[in-house]
Amino acid sequence: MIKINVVTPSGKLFEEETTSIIVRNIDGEQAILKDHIPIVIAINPGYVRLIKGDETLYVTIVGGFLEFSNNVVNVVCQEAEIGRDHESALKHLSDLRKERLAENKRKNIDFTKAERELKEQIKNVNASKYKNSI
Amino acid sequence: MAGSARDIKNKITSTKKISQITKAMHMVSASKLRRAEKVMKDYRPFLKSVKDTIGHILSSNIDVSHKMLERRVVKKTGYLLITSDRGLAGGYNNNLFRQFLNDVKGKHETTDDYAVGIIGNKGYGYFKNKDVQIINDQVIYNRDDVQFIDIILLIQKMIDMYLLEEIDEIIVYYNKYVNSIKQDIIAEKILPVEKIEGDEKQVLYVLEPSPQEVLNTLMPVYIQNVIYGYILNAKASEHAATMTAMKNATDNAKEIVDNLTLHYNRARQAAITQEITEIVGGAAALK
Repeated sequence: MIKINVVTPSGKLFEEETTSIIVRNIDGEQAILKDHIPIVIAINPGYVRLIKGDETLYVTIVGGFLEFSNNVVNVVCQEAEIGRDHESALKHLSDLRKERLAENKRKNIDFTKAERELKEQIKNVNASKYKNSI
Repeated sequence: MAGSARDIKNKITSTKKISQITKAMHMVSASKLRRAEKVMKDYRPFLKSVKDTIGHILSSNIDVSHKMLERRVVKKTGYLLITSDRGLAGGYNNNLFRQFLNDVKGKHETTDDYAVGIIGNKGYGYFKNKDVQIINDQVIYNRDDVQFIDIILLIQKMIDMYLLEEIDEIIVYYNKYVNSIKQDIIAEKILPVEKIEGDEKQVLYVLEPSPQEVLNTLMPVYIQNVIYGYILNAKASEHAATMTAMKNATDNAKEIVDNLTLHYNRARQAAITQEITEIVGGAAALK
Protein backbone atom coordinates (compact mmCIF):
# COMPACT_ATOMS: atom_id res chain seq x y z
CA MET A 1 0.00 0.00 0.00
CA ILE A 2 1.04 3.57 -0.67
CA LYS A 3 0.18 6.37 1.71
CA ILE A 4 -0.69 9.66 0.10
CA ASN A 5 -0.82 13.10 1.73
CA VAL A 6 -2.07 16.14 -0.12
CA VAL A 7 -0.93 19.37 1.50
CA THR A 8 -1.99 22.90 0.54
CA PRO A 9 -1.17 26.24 2.19
CA SER A 10 -4.41 26.03 4.15
CA GLY A 11 -3.46 22.72 5.70
CA LYS A 12 -3.68 19.02 5.02
CA LEU A 13 -6.39 18.40 2.48
CA PHE A 14 -6.39 14.70 2.09
CA GLU A 15 -4.83 11.55 3.48
CA GLU A 16 -5.47 8.12 2.04
CA GLU A 17 -3.99 4.72 1.32
CA THR A 18 -3.98 3.39 -2.21
CA THR A 19 -2.47 0.56 -4.18
CA SER A 20 -1.09 2.68 -7.01
CA ILE A 21 -1.14 6.20 -8.34
CA ILE A 22 -0.90 7.69 -11.80
CA VAL A 23 0.56 11.14 -12.16
CA ARG A 24 -0.18 13.38 -15.07
CA ASN A 25 2.13 16.32 -15.67
CA ILE A 26 3.26 18.37 -18.64
CA ASP A 27 4.68 15.54 -20.68
CA GLY A 28 2.39 12.63 -20.03
CA GLU A 29 1.27 10.11 -17.50
CA GLN A 30 3.40 8.07 -15.17
CA ALA A 31 2.40 5.32 -12.83
CA ILE A 32 3.95 4.81 -9.44
CA LEU A 33 3.60 1.46 -7.75
CA LYS A 34 4.79 0.21 -4.41
CA ASP A 35 8.57 0.34 -3.83
CA HIS A 36 9.23 2.77 -6.63
CA ILE A 37 12.57 4.55 -6.32
CA PRO A 38 12.40 7.96 -4.66
CA ILE A 39 11.15 10.50 -7.16
CA VAL A 40 10.11 14.13 -7.41
CA ILE A 41 7.67 15.12 -10.12
CA ALA A 42 6.70 18.68 -10.93
CA ILE A 43 3.00 19.13 -11.64
CA ASN A 44 1.73 22.38 -13.08
CA PRO A 45 -1.07 21.84 -13.86
CA GLY A 46 -1.99 18.19 -13.78
CA TYR A 47 -3.59 15.53 -11.65
CA VAL A 48 -2.89 12.51 -9.54
CA ARG A 49 -5.13 9.50 -10.03
CA LEU A 50 -5.54 7.21 -7.08
CA ILE A 51 -6.40 3.62 -7.78
CA LYS A 52 -7.69 1.43 -5.02
CA GLY A 53 -9.40 -1.72 -6.22
CA ASP A 54 -12.21 -0.66 -8.55
CA GLU A 55 -12.30 2.86 -7.25
CA THR A 56 -10.43 5.74 -8.83
CA LEU A 57 -10.18 9.25 -7.47
CA TYR A 58 -8.74 12.30 -9.15
CA VAL A 59 -6.81 14.95 -7.30
CA THR A 60 -6.48 17.94 -9.58
CA ILE A 61 -3.46 20.06 -8.81
CA VAL A 62 -2.41 23.58 -9.67
CA GLY A 63 1.20 24.54 -9.05
CA GLY A 64 3.02 21.98 -7.01
CA PHE A 65 5.05 18.84 -6.90
CA LEU A 66 4.86 15.26 -5.82
CA GLU A 67 7.48 13.58 -3.75
CA PHE A 68 7.70 9.85 -3.33
CA SER A 69 9.91 8.01 -0.90
CA ASN A 70 9.50 4.95 1.34
CA ASN A 71 6.01 4.31 -0.04
CA VAL A 72 4.79 7.70 1.15
CA VAL A 73 3.58 10.21 -1.40
CA ASN A 74 3.62 13.86 -0.43
CA VAL A 75 1.78 16.12 -2.80
CA VAL A 76 2.60 19.73 -2.03
CA CYS A 77 0.58 22.21 -4.05
CA GLN A 78 -1.11 25.57 -3.97
CA GLU A 79 -4.56 24.40 -4.88
CA ALA A 80 -6.04 20.96 -5.12
CA GLU A 81 -9.45 19.51 -5.59
CA ILE A 82 -10.70 15.97 -5.28
CA GLY A 83 -13.29 14.56 -7.64
CA ARG A 84 -14.54 11.50 -9.47
CA ASP A 85 -13.01 12.73 -12.71
CA HIS A 86 -10.47 15.31 -13.73
CA GLU A 87 -12.80 17.59 -15.66
CA SER A 88 -15.37 18.02 -12.91
CA ALA A 89 -12.69 18.65 -10.31
CA LEU A 90 -11.05 21.23 -12.53
CA LYS A 91 -14.39 22.88 -13.19
CA HIS A 92 -15.18 22.94 -9.50
CA LEU A 93 -11.83 24.56 -8.80
CA SER A 94 -12.32 27.31 -11.36
CA ASP A 95 -15.90 27.87 -10.13
CA LEU A 96 -14.58 28.29 -6.61
CA ARG A 97 -12.10 30.86 -7.85
CA LYS A 98 -14.69 32.87 -9.71
CA GLU A 99 -17.09 32.78 -6.79
CA ARG A 100 -14.42 33.92 -4.43
CA LEU A 101 -13.41 36.86 -6.59
CA ALA A 102 -17.03 37.94 -7.01
CA GLU A 103 -17.56 37.63 -3.27
CA ASN A 104 -14.47 39.73 -2.59
CA LYS A 105 -15.96 42.54 -4.60
CA ARG A 106 -19.37 42.37 -2.96
CA LYS A 107 -18.06 42.11 0.58
CA ASN A 108 -15.83 45.08 0.28
CA ILE A 109 -18.52 47.34 -1.11
CA ASP A 110 -20.58 46.53 1.98
CA PHE A 111 -17.62 47.12 4.20
CA THR A 112 -16.76 50.49 2.71
CA LYS A 113 -20.34 51.62 3.25
CA ALA A 114 -20.33 50.51 6.88
CA GLU A 115 -16.97 52.15 7.51
CA ARG A 116 -18.14 55.46 6.07
CA GLU A 117 -21.20 55.35 8.28
CA LEU A 118 -19.12 54.73 11.36
CA LYS A 119 -16.78 57.60 10.52
CA GLU A 120 -19.74 59.92 10.12
CA GLN A 121 -21.15 58.90 13.45
CA ILE A 122 -17.87 59.44 15.22
CA LYS A 123 -17.70 62.86 13.66
CA ASN A 124 -21.23 63.69 14.79
CA VAL A 125 -20.57 62.68 18.34
CA ASN A 126 -17.46 64.85 18.31
CA ALA A 127 -15.81 62.76 20.97
CA SER A 128 -12.22 63.56 20.07
CA LYS A 129 -12.85 67.30 20.06
CA TYR A 130 -14.56 67.23 23.40
CA LYS A 131 -11.62 65.66 25.15
CA ASN A 132 -9.31 68.54 24.25
CA SER A 133 -11.77 71.21 25.30
CA ILE A 134 -11.98 69.95 28.85
CA MET B 1 -27.80 75.38 34.32
CA ALA B 2 -30.02 72.34 34.21
CA GLY B 3 -29.76 72.39 30.38
CA SER B 4 -25.97 72.08 30.38
CA ALA B 5 -26.18 69.21 32.86
CA ARG B 6 -28.48 67.40 30.46
CA ASP B 7 -26.06 68.08 27.57
CA ILE B 8 -23.21 66.60 29.51
CA LYS B 9 -25.34 63.61 30.42
CA ASN B 10 -26.08 62.99 26.73
CA LYS B 11 -22.41 63.14 25.90
CA ILE B 12 -21.60 60.69 28.66
CA THR B 13 -24.15 58.23 27.24
CA SER B 14 -22.83 58.47 23.68
CA THR B 15 -19.19 58.20 24.74
CA LYS B 16 -20.06 55.16 26.80
CA LYS B 17 -21.67 53.60 23.74
CA ILE B 18 -18.57 54.24 21.64
CA SER B 19 -16.42 52.66 24.30
CA GLN B 20 -18.67 49.61 24.23
CA ILE B 21 -18.14 49.33 20.47
CA THR B 22 -14.38 49.74 20.68
CA LYS B 23 -14.26 47.22 23.49
CA ALA B 24 -16.15 44.73 21.36
CA MET B 25 -13.81 45.40 18.45
CA HIS B 26 -10.86 44.85 20.74
CA MET B 27 -12.16 41.46 21.72
CA VAL B 28 -13.00 40.54 18.15
CA SER B 29 -9.45 41.30 17.03
CA ALA B 30 -8.07 39.41 19.98
CA SER B 31 -9.84 36.25 18.87
CA LYS B 32 -8.94 36.90 15.24
CA LEU B 33 -5.33 37.34 16.25
CA ARG B 34 -5.34 33.98 17.92
CA ARG B 35 -6.66 32.38 14.75
CA ALA B 36 -4.22 34.27 12.51
CA GLU B 37 -1.35 33.19 14.71
CA LYS B 38 -2.40 29.58 14.36
CA VAL B 39 -2.70 29.82 10.58
CA MET B 40 0.74 31.39 10.45
CA LYS B 41 2.26 28.61 12.51
CA ASP B 42 0.48 25.87 10.56
CA TYR B 43 1.84 27.28 7.36
CA ARG B 44 5.49 26.98 8.30
CA PRO B 45 5.88 23.22 7.69
CA PHE B 46 4.37 23.64 4.22
CA LEU B 47 6.86 26.32 3.27
CA LYS B 48 9.67 24.27 4.74
CA SER B 49 8.87 21.24 2.63
CA VAL B 50 8.97 23.32 -0.57
CA LYS B 51 12.20 24.94 0.56
CA ASP B 52 13.80 21.63 1.47
CA THR B 53 12.98 20.16 -1.92
CA ILE B 54 14.46 23.10 -3.80
CA GLY B 55 17.49 23.08 -1.55
CA HIS B 56 17.88 19.41 -2.31
CA ILE B 57 17.67 19.93 -6.08
CA LEU B 58 20.19 22.75 -5.98
CA SER B 59 22.68 20.88 -3.86
CA SER B 60 22.47 17.60 -5.78
CA ASN B 61 22.41 19.06 -9.30
CA ILE B 62 25.15 21.57 -9.94
CA ASP B 63 24.35 22.13 -13.60
CA VAL B 64 20.87 23.59 -13.06
CA SER B 65 20.28 27.31 -13.06
CA HIS B 66 17.35 29.63 -12.82
CA LYS B 67 16.84 33.29 -13.52
CA MET B 68 15.51 33.79 -10.03
CA LEU B 69 18.84 32.74 -8.58
CA GLU B 70 20.93 35.09 -10.70
CA ARG B 71 21.70 38.60 -9.71
CA ARG B 72 21.63 41.21 -12.42
CA VAL B 73 22.17 44.95 -12.65
CA VAL B 74 19.18 46.66 -11.09
CA LYS B 75 17.57 49.13 -13.45
CA LYS B 76 14.08 48.96 -12.10
CA THR B 77 12.83 47.73 -8.75
CA GLY B 78 9.50 46.15 -8.02
CA TYR B 79 8.01 46.72 -4.60
CA LEU B 80 5.22 44.77 -3.01
CA LEU B 81 3.41 46.47 -0.16
CA ILE B 82 1.23 44.42 2.14
CA THR B 83 -1.36 46.67 3.72
CA SER B 84 -4.75 46.03 5.29
CA ASP B 85 -8.24 46.44 3.95
CA ARG B 86 -9.51 48.55 6.79
CA GLY B 87 -8.35 51.27 9.08
CA LEU B 88 -8.87 51.55 12.83
CA ALA B 89 -5.56 49.81 13.32
CA GLY B 90 -3.44 52.66 14.66
CA GLY B 91 -0.38 53.39 12.57
CA TYR B 92 -0.38 50.00 10.90
CA ASN B 93 -0.70 51.29 7.34
CA ASN B 94 0.58 54.83 7.70
CA ASN B 95 3.90 53.83 9.22
CA LEU B 96 4.42 51.44 6.35
CA PHE B 97 3.67 54.11 3.76
CA ARG B 98 5.99 56.56 5.46
CA GLN B 99 8.85 54.11 5.67
CA PHE B 100 8.36 53.04 2.08
CA LEU B 101 8.24 56.60 0.71
CA ASN B 102 11.32 57.53 2.72
CA ASP B 103 13.28 54.55 1.41
CA VAL B 104 12.18 55.19 -2.15
CA LYS B 105 13.13 58.86 -1.99
CA GLY B 106 16.64 57.98 -0.97
CA LYS B 107 17.06 55.17 -3.44
CA HIS B 108 15.51 56.27 -6.72
CA GLU B 109 15.81 59.45 -8.69
CA THR B 110 12.66 59.24 -10.79
CA THR B 111 9.39 57.39 -10.45
CA ASP B 112 10.27 55.42 -13.59
CA ASP B 113 12.85 53.50 -11.60
CA TYR B 114 10.32 51.52 -9.62
CA ALA B 115 6.87 50.03 -9.76
CA VAL B 116 4.65 49.07 -6.86
CA GLY B 117 2.31 46.16 -6.37
CA ILE B 118 -0.13 46.71 -3.55
CA ILE B 119 -2.12 44.21 -1.55
CA GLY B 120 -4.91 45.66 0.56
CA ASN B 121 -7.57 48.28 0.07
CA LYS B 122 -5.92 50.98 2.19
CA GLY B 123 -2.64 50.91 0.33
CA TYR B 124 -4.33 51.02 -3.03
CA GLY B 125 -6.45 53.98 -1.96
CA TYR B 126 -3.37 55.78 -0.71
CA PHE B 127 -1.21 55.33 -3.79
CA LYS B 128 -3.94 55.56 -6.41
CA ASN B 129 -3.66 59.30 -6.80
CA LYS B 130 0.06 59.51 -6.16
CA ASP B 131 2.81 59.76 -8.73
CA VAL B 132 3.70 56.09 -8.49
CA GLN B 133 3.53 53.27 -11.02
CA ILE B 134 1.10 50.71 -9.69
CA ILE B 135 1.35 47.18 -11.05
CA ASN B 136 -2.14 45.97 -10.18
CA ASP B 137 -4.88 47.87 -12.00
CA GLN B 138 -7.50 47.01 -9.40
CA VAL B 139 -7.69 46.56 -5.67
CA ILE B 140 -6.28 43.32 -4.34
CA TYR B 141 -8.20 42.70 -1.18
CA ASN B 142 -6.50 41.40 1.89
CA ARG B 143 -9.32 39.67 3.69
CA ASP B 144 -9.19 38.18 7.13
CA ASP B 145 -9.59 34.71 5.69
CA VAL B 146 -7.08 35.44 2.95
CA GLN B 147 -6.65 32.68 0.42
CA PHE B 148 -4.18 31.98 -2.29
CA ILE B 149 -6.48 32.88 -5.15
CA ASP B 150 -7.00 36.39 -3.80
CA ILE B 151 -3.40 37.33 -4.33
CA ILE B 152 -2.08 34.92 -6.92
CA LEU B 153 -2.84 37.13 -9.91
CA LEU B 154 -0.72 40.01 -8.65
CA ILE B 155 2.14 37.84 -7.48
CA GLN B 156 2.22 35.91 -10.73
CA LYS B 157 2.25 39.18 -12.65
CA MET B 158 5.21 40.43 -10.67
CA ILE B 159 7.08 37.17 -11.12
CA ASP B 160 6.43 37.30 -14.86
CA MET B 161 7.72 40.87 -14.95
CA TYR B 162 10.84 39.71 -13.19
CA LEU B 163 11.37 36.83 -15.59
CA LEU B 164 10.84 39.13 -18.59
CA GLU B 165 13.44 41.47 -17.05
CA GLU B 166 11.01 44.34 -16.79
CA ILE B 167 11.96 44.59 -13.15
CA ASP B 168 15.24 43.36 -11.74
CA GLU B 169 14.48 42.81 -8.08
CA ILE B 170 11.43 42.50 -5.86
CA ILE B 171 11.28 43.88 -2.34
CA VAL B 172 8.38 43.20 0.00
CA TYR B 173 7.29 45.68 2.67
CA TYR B 174 5.19 44.33 5.48
CA ASN B 175 4.52 44.53 9.19
CA LYS B 176 6.34 41.67 10.76
CA TYR B 177 4.63 40.12 13.73
CA VAL B 178 6.97 40.00 16.71
CA ASN B 179 4.40 39.68 19.47
CA SER B 180 0.97 41.06 20.20
CA ILE B 181 2.28 44.49 21.19
CA LYS B 182 5.20 44.78 18.82
CA GLN B 183 5.16 44.77 15.04
CA ASP B 184 8.12 45.86 12.94
CA ILE B 185 8.06 47.17 9.41
CA ILE B 186 10.36 45.00 7.38
CA ALA B 187 11.66 45.38 3.85
CA GLU B 188 12.57 41.95 2.58
CA LYS B 189 14.20 41.25 -0.76
CA ILE B 190 12.72 38.11 -2.22
CA LEU B 191 13.97 38.21 -5.78
CA PRO B 192 16.60 37.38 -6.81
CA VAL B 193 16.76 34.59 -4.26
CA GLU B 194 19.96 34.86 -2.27
CA LYS B 195 20.31 31.31 -1.10
CA ILE B 196 18.06 28.41 -0.42
CA GLU B 197 19.24 25.94 2.09
CA GLY B 198 17.15 22.98 2.95
CA ASP B 199 17.77 20.20 5.38
CA GLU B 200 19.95 17.50 3.96
CA LYS B 201 17.75 14.74 2.66
CA GLN B 202 19.04 11.24 3.03
CA VAL B 203 17.41 9.80 -0.07
CA LEU B 204 18.50 10.58 -3.59
CA TYR B 205 15.51 11.50 -5.70
CA VAL B 206 14.90 10.97 -9.37
CA LEU B 207 13.62 14.22 -10.81
CA GLU B 208 10.91 14.07 -13.45
CA PRO B 209 10.79 15.36 -16.22
CA SER B 210 14.28 16.80 -15.58
CA PRO B 211 15.99 18.64 -12.73
CA GLN B 212 15.76 21.87 -14.70
CA GLU B 213 12.04 21.39 -15.39
CA VAL B 214 11.29 20.63 -11.77
CA LEU B 215 13.20 23.72 -10.72
CA ASN B 216 11.37 25.82 -13.31
CA THR B 217 8.07 24.76 -11.80
CA LEU B 218 9.15 24.99 -8.21
CA MET B 219 10.85 28.37 -8.16
CA PRO B 220 7.70 30.40 -8.87
CA VAL B 221 5.78 28.18 -6.47
CA TYR B 222 8.39 28.83 -3.83
CA ILE B 223 8.30 32.61 -4.32
CA GLN B 224 4.50 32.63 -4.23
CA ASN B 225 4.55 30.68 -1.02
CA VAL B 226 7.12 32.92 0.60
CA ILE B 227 4.96 35.95 -0.20
CA TYR B 228 1.87 34.18 1.06
CA GLY B 229 3.74 33.48 4.30
CA TYR B 230 4.49 37.19 4.62
CA ILE B 231 0.84 38.00 4.08
CA LEU B 232 -0.20 35.63 6.84
CA ASN B 233 2.38 37.24 9.07
CA ALA B 234 1.15 40.72 8.18
CA LYS B 235 -2.38 39.59 8.89
CA ALA B 236 -1.46 38.61 12.42
CA SER B 237 0.22 42.00 12.83
CA GLU B 238 -2.88 43.74 11.58
CA HIS B 239 -5.08 42.10 14.18
CA ALA B 240 -2.54 42.85 16.88
CA ALA B 241 -2.39 46.49 15.80
CA THR B 242 -6.19 46.73 15.75
CA MET B 243 -6.28 45.21 19.18
CA THR B 244 -3.86 47.79 20.59
CA ALA B 245 -5.62 50.67 18.84
CA MET B 246 -9.00 49.59 20.14
CA LYS B 247 -7.65 49.10 23.65
CA ASN B 248 -6.33 52.67 23.58
CA ALA B 249 -9.63 53.96 22.24
CA THR B 250 -11.51 52.22 25.03
CA ASP B 251 -9.15 53.66 27.65
CA ASN B 252 -9.49 57.14 26.17
CA ALA B 253 -13.26 56.88 26.15
CA LYS B 254 -13.18 55.87 29.77
CA GLU B 255 -11.07 58.89 30.60
CA ILE B 256 -13.53 61.15 28.80
CA VAL B 257 -16.44 59.61 30.67
CA ASP B 258 -14.66 60.17 33.99
CA ASN B 259 -13.97 63.79 33.12
CA LEU B 260 -17.50 64.36 31.93
CA THR B 261 -18.96 62.76 35.04
CA LEU B 262 -16.95 65.19 37.14
CA HIS B 263 -18.30 68.09 35.12
CA TYR B 264 -21.81 66.71 35.31
CA ASN B 265 -21.66 66.45 39.08
CA ARG B 266 -20.26 69.93 39.34
CA ALA B 267 -23.09 71.30 37.18
CA ARG B 268 -25.65 69.41 39.23
CA GLN B 269 -24.13 70.71 42.44
CA ALA B 270 -24.17 74.25 41.10
CA ALA B 271 -27.83 73.92 40.15
CA ILE B 272 -28.75 72.68 43.65
CA THR B 273 -26.73 75.43 45.31
CA GLN B 274 -28.45 77.98 43.16
CA GLU B 275 -31.87 76.62 44.04
CA ILE B 276 -31.10 76.70 47.76
CA THR B 277 -29.82 80.25 47.44
CA GLU B 278 -33.02 81.21 45.65
CA ILE B 279 -35.23 79.60 48.32
CA VAL B 280 -33.23 81.14 51.15
CA GLY B 281 -33.30 84.48 49.35
CA GLY B 282 -37.05 84.18 48.85
CA ALA B 283 -37.64 83.29 52.50
CA ALA B 284 -35.47 86.20 53.64
CA ALA B 285 -37.46 88.57 51.45
CA LEU B 286 -40.74 87.45 53.12
CA LYS B 287 -39.52 88.32 56.61
